[in-house]
Amino acid sequence: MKRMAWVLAATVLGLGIAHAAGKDDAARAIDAAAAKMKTAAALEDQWTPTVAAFKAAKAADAAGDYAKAEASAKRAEALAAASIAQARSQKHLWRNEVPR
Amino acid sequence: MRAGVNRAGARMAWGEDKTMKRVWLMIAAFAALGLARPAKADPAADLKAFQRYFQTRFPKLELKDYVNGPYNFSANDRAQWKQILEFPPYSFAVDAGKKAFDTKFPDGASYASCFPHGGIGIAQDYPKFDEKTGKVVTIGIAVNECRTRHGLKALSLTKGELADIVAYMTSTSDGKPIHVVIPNDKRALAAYEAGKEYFYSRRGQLNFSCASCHVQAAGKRLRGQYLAPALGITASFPVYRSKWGNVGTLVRRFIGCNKKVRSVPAKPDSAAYRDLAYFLTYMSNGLPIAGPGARS
Repeated sequence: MKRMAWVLAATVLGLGIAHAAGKDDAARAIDAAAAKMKTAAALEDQWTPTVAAFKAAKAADAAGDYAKAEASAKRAEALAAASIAQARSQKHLWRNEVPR
Repeated sequence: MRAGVNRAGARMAWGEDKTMKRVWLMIAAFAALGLARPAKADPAADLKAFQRYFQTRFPKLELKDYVNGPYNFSANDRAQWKQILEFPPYSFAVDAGKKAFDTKFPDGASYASCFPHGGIGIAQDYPKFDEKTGKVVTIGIAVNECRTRHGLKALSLTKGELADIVAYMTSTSDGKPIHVVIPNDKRALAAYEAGKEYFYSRRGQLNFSCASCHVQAAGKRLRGQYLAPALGITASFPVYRSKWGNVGTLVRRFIGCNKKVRSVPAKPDSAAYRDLAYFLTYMSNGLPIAGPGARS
């Protein structure tokens, strides 16, 4: 009986730690995505799926679904990074499309 | 690697290797000079090249035909469009626009007082470069500036009352050649260049530029629709689109195109859209105004 109580307490504690870690990870992922999106916006090349993924991350975070929040934020960050790369490369490449 | 191969193979004497190095250095220096020098804006040369590009691609089309946009490429679509124009769907907007245009402001002034020639027959001159503000002014923005000068709220630049007013003003320019001026002012040339860059830059998750559809793929089909050439594309705005069920401005179309390629659109009165309209309308200089128009 005593052992059962210990196992139960350890499980509850473990779950709590995992929950806190998930919350922190989600918050970090959301911050990282927001920073990348700020750069993309400054380059005037934000993608609509980036905004959608970020909104999904914030909504999941508010609902306490930290795994989903982290995954969505990471997707937003990746999309923002791709749009930044696009904007930077287009600074030179656009000239190739001009009829001469 | 190249030098290593040369040494290992003993194909090139040391002196020749040094000469080659100098040649490569000179080539690199010339290339760097070429890249470092910013391309000088030459709107007139751009206009010639732009119109020549389309005339070479579609030799059967006369320049004035480009204002008919996608209806140059399908006899069936053209016949349907002509039938629609027998009872132009934009006529309600023109009537509403005239009524709004003629209505006096609370301070007794009117739209006519804000424009040269009382605002009649001037749409072909827009967008204009405003030397005072250093910004490009579209006809819609000019209408809003007139309102705010007389204590009224600015209207939406995309549809509704403003689109109606612009539709009416444009109808009084029907047939007049587009005459956008780019003055020899550094700021005006910079705005033109910014618009040009925007037009040719790929954006959005789908990686499309305006030119992807309206230059490279002009006259081709995108699903069930023919893509209008960029040449003459602004001449019919504002347009009544069957898809919209009402009249919308050029900036409304910009926003729609941006969203389609999954790019977050700019603000309707942003410098990006002002400059884009400036460049794109200038490219149609000489073509007749054919607005308001009707599109599917």
